[in-house]
Amino acid sequence: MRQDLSSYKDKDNNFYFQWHITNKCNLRCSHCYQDDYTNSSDMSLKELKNIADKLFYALSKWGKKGDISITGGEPFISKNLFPFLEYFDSSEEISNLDILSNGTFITDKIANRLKSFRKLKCIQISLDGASSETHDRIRGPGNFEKAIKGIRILISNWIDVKVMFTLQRSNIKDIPSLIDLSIKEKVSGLTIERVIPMGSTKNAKDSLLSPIEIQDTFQYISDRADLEYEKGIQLRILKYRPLWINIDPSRAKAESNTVSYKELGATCSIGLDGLTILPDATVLPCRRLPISIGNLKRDSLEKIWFTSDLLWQIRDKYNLKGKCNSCEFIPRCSGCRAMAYACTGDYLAEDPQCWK
Amino acid sequence: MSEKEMVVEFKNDVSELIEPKFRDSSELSTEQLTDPDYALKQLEKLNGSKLSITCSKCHHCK
Repeated sequence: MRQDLSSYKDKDNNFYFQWHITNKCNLRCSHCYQDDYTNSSDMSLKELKNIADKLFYALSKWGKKGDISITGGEPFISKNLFPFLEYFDSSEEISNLDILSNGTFITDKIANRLKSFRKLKCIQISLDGASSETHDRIRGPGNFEKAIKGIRILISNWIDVKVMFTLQRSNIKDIPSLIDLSIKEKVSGLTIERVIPMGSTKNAKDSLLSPIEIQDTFQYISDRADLEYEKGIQLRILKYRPLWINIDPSRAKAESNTVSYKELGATCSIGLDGLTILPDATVLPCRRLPISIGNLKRDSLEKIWFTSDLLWQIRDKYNLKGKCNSCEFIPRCSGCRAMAYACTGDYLAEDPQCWK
Repeated sequence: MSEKEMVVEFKNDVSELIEPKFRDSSELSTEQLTDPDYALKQLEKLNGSKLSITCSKCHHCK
């Protein structure tokens, strides 16, 4: 049975960290948000644990539990991945773990090891196309086959797999077949993110879709999700992101706990309940908004969370500009602050891909 | 789509021009300085009961 719509009120009240333990990666994806692919800023396991202890201290004081996504770079390259997972798995302060990966290093031996972590809930694998032609054009030759093989190994070991797809001009045509593929491969979730022009793509604005193209694409995905849910598929097509609510605003007014086919749109989560940590302990409000708001080697989590000027600017929704400022759907959208910053240099500007 | 060019320079993709800036505690209320859910509560207040507010942390939505 599918889950009910996940609302903040009903949620577990956990605090979320996306922790990039290394920048090192075996791939050079054309849309990557990184410029650096070395392990020069990686912390030692001892340093990682020291930072984790700071987080545990704050979480305990706040009466919260932590949910952690460990990623990179490619996290399976890091020798610290498994010992760090062990550290979190044994911590009372952590509820859930997952790993965000390109899937190319998954073997039966690794999958078997992953099964030993009781808090590890899923592995998210990036697929940027439904065929080797599209995926490998973005991620490099041979990597589609490796990612699919990785997904199959994980699922055959009863490990939950979700897929992340970064939507851009070069893969927009693959969306129908990507949904087919996700159903066929029995992954449990599919997330579709808009590409942000930063890192490798900061000068490639032609990879961005126009507002009308985004609208048409989101409409197709939403209609297709409704259709597939009617059929009773297990795949959840996750649309908890800014702009989605504009597809069908009436759904925003539905009663909470409506069934999942009504799930559509969520506000930008910056400053609400999560942060991103980079390999050198720099903290970002979101991985796609590349402005440092502190460093956990010198700043406490409390100092960053409670006094960061940037976080307070974004939390005050009256600061939003352009059409975002007067939009009635701020609590369920508020635009992507990273997209605004990447396109205009102003993270309070309106989301440039909004079609309203 | 805005035609304005991006003016921010990056090193290792993180802006070097903008240093972390912290507000003085005297600028913030006790709730702002102690309640980690303050912003979420403000969002709920702004919303009233008009919309159902969903969570955007879909990576780990169980």
